[in-house]
Amino acid sequence: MEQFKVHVERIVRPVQAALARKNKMREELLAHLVHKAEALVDEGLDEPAASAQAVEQLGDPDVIRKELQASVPALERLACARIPNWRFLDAYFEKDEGESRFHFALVRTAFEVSAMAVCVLPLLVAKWAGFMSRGQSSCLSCSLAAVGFISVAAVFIFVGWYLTDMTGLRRAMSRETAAPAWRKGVATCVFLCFNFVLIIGPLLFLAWLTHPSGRTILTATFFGMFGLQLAGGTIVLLVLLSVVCGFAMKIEHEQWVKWGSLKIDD
Amino acid sequence: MRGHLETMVLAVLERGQAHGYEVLQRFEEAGCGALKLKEGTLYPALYRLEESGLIKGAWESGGENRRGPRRRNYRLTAKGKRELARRRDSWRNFVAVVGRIVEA
Repeated sequence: MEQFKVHVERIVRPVQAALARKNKMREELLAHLVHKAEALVDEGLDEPAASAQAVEQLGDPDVIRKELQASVPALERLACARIPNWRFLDAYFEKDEGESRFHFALVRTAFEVSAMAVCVLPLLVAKWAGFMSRGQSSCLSCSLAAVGFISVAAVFIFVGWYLTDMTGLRRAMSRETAAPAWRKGVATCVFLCFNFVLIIGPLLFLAWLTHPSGRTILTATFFGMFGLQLAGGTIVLLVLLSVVCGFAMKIEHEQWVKWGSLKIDD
Repeated sequence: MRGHLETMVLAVLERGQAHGYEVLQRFEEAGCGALKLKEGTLYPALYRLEESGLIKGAWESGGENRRGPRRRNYRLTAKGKRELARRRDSWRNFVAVVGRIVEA
């Protein structure tokens, strides 16, 4: 059975299609091989010979793969196209051998804070220019607020990454970890919520910077700018999105345990 | 062969629902061994037919008595029946015309 699963996975894994469709392909091809081999054993062949003949009669894997791919609707094929540098993202979440937790958190914090600063800086400059043209002297408070915000965010990001490793959240999300699928789903959900906060934080700050009454932090609060309902709605939406992603991660992991963990290279 | 394979699948499913392996067995019974059909190419044909609504598939419910992986049964839809009738006519025309030329 394992030998058949590997052969089926060699055919189906590279196909660009939705998970449900690929699972259908996997199960059907596996069922076919198993029943074919059983029939050949009933005809008098020994098991290894029957297995080899079942695989041989299935046909050239490349040809089957191409035909399976052609049977997938074009839109679905496009939506399921693989991201070429997916390993880069994996590497971002993985800690190097012997790397300390401090270094791991520091590197990621530096990267994320830099990205945040790149987003905030142009608006800060624009805001500055606006203040200067109106002859106002609030540039300093605005700049201090920006630096203060980024500093506070950096501390949060650092602590987040540090704790993420300490609590095993990052490891729980790793495919190789032998944790139940639901735990991986919850870990993904928590991780996404945390990252959404990191994304939404700078956006709120940018909104504050560009708000006409944004001369002091207090006059341009989160609720004042967006309204309570919109802010609440955004948070609910993000939590729901995180839960959906967590659930998708759970399903994806179950499939990975069943099929994706098979070593298909010769 | 690709177009004909789909017609052949529709024709054998007219006799009743079947899973992929059973479809191939029906081909064998009808003497399709001579076509040297590679078995794996049947499944993409089944998916194309299912995608175009000519056949409908459903996983068999074998319960606990089922041995091995579950199979998917396919049956002809009303649209599939109409399409089969159309393809049969087209095939008969093809055989009649080409047959007259080849056997002349």
